[in-house]
Amino acid sequence: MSPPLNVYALSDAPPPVEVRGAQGEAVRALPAGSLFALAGEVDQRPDLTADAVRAHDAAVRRLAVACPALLPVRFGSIADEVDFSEREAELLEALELVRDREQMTLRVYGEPEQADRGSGTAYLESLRRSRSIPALDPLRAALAPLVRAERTEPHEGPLIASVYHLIDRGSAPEYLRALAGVALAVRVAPTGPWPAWSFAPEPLR
Amino acid sequence: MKRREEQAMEILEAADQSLLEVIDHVLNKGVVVSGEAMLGVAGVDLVYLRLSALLCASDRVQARARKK
Repeated sequence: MSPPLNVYALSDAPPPVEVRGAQGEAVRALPAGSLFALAGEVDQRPDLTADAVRAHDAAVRRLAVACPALLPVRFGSIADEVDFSEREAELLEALELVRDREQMTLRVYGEPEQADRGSGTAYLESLRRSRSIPALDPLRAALAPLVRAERTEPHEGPLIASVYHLIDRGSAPEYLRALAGVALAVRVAPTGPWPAWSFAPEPLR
Repeated sequence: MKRREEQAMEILEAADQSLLEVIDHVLNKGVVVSGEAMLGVAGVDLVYLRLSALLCASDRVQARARKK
C-alpha cells in the first residue's frame, strides 16, 4: 500500500518550483482530472496540535506563493488517493475565482439586529437583511473598488458575523487603509491576507 | 492517543487571538476532501462553537483594555 498523502491544496497546474509540506516533505502534484492535488507523503496522520495547525497554514501559504490559482484544503485531509471527478466543474470555477487573489477576513462585533415579528413577510425580510449585515454597507461602498467577491457567515452573540473578502494579490495594504477610513456602528477586526480559505465550494454532504 | 476533541479543546483553551484565527481558517474552512480517512469530522463542529465563543471573549477583553 502506498504511504498516506497529506493534502494541502488544489490547483490547476503543478507548482513551478519545489515546495515543502508541513513536515518538511516535498509536495507532489497529483493529477486528478483537470485538477492537481498538492500533497505530501507522510508517515502518519498529524496529531491535532497548535504546531501542526500552524505548519499546515505555512505549507498552504508557501504553495499559494508558487501557484496563482490555489484552493486550500482543510487540515487533516489524509488520503490514499484523490478523486474529484464529481466536483471538478465547481472546483475549476472556484479556482478561476481565486486566481491571482487573496482573502481578507473581518470579524464583526456589535449588537445583533432584532428580527421584526410584525408579520411573516416582515420577519423573513428582516432575517434576510440581518444575514447580509446591513451595518456593513458603508464599508462595502468604501471597499467596492478592491473587493472581487464576498462571503458572509452570521454568528450568534457579540461576534455577529465573519465576512470574507477576496481581493487582488498585493492589495491588502490598500484594503486596510480604506477600511481604517470608514466609520461604522459595529466594530470590525481584520486579519489577512490569507490564501482563499473561505472561497471553496460547499462540501458535499 | 488523545481523542481529537480533547486535542482541539486543549489547543483552543491555550490559544491567543492569532492562533484562533489560524485554527478557524485551517480547521473550519478550505476544500473538504471527501471519501478519505479524515482525522474525524465530528470534532470540527465542537471546535467551531468553542472558537466562536473565544473570539467573542477576547474581543471583550480588548474592549475593556481600551476603556482604561
